[in-house]
Amino acid sequence: MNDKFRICFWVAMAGLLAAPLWAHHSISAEFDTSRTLNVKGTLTKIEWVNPHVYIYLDAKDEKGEVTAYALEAGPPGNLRRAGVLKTMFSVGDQVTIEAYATKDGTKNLGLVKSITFADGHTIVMGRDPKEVEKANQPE
Amino acid sequence: MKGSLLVYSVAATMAMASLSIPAAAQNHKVSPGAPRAKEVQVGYGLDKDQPFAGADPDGTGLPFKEPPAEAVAAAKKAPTPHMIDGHPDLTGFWAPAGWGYAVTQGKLSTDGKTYYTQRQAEGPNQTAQKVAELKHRTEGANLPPYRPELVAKVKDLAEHQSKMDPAFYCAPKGFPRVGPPTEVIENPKTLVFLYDTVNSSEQNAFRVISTDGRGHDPTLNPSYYGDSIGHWEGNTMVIDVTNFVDDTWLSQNGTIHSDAMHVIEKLTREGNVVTWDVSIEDPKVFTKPWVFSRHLVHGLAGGHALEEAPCVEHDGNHLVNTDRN
Repeated sequence: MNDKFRICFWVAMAGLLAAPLWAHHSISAEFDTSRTLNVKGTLTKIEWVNPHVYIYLDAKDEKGEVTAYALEAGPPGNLRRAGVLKTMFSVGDQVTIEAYATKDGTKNLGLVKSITFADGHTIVMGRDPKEVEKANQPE
Repeated sequence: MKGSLLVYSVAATMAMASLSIPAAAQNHKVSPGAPRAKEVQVGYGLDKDQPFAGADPDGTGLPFKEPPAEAVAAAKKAPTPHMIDGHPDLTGFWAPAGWGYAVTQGKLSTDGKTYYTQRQAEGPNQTAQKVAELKHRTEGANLPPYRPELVAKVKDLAEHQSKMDPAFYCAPKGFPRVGPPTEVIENPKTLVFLYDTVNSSEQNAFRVISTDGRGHDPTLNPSYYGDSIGHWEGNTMVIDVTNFVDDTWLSQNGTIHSDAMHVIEKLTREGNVVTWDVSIEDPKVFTKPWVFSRHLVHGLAGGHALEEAPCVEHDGNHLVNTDRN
């Protein structure tokens, strides 16, 4: 095995390894990444479980009517290793969540794209959109 | 060729990003002014123990990886510790290759207000990568040798994995799908294998392996992890595992087995490396034993198999297609 090939091989294998450790569903099996919903409200429950973390939120509209949302995120192990800990979320937090919409039409469910806390800091579950755009430029 | 170049370039980008782990392991202030502590150490803990990538060079389609040959060769040079009875001491933390490498290298924006986990990247490049992964898992050179009449069934199960995989719905993966032990505790008459299951459907996965010369206990009930007895052959611990239930898979690829499955697992320590050899015999489903091997490099940063997570499946009823990871 020459060095060039060996380097290519390991680089390619490292890419394969970047696959999710949890063999759960593909995002595209449940969520439509071309449609998002924006929800502002109060966190009511943090479920830090496999195969996906769930964050529950109550959103109140202008009339005072409350709608409960369930927002899915990654597996807890992956999130921890990416630096996102359960201790960063508390019941009662005022947050704005941008989430991908479901494909099956379930309205109060989404996949967290970003979560912005009352003090203005944001956790984006993914890459900087500018980097994504750059990576997706045709060759 | 262009397609494979694309995959390679995506992989190269991801690998380059991954190579920045030491920098990423610094403390990141996600929100300096927040009322609660927001400091997180990106990918802290376990990744320090195995900061290199892994691969599946023999094409098993299995998720546990082979570390780079250079890392194995270097770790083998360390002295091999022995028990007082003269046998090699397998005790230690054996995080598999890629354990921490898959850390997603979170990135903080320049104003310090936005934290990117670097996961869930969208777009055509991810799709190309996914296609490459599925191809790798289904066309490897060392896939389980199923009897001809079962090949179509296994393929169908693999394609419908998101509906059919028991682990998808929080059932234990069982042995050997759970992989090599994350941590081993060796005593003169027993071995204890502990499994880190934070990215798994398992909870509290462990095996106790009698090494005192007793045989299998025929009265034991069949189980996900089987009945394990071990003995030394020179410097190699040979573990015989039988008495399995038949409702687990061997990987996420639809790989069923029967209740006749018999696994021979061997562990040989040289320096800070354990060679983990597995031979799975199952005459009801295989034409010959399925044999594979991995090197485990000892984690020197003091890690333990500490992590597990509850498993609650919410998504099955919302899936609209069979797309897989």
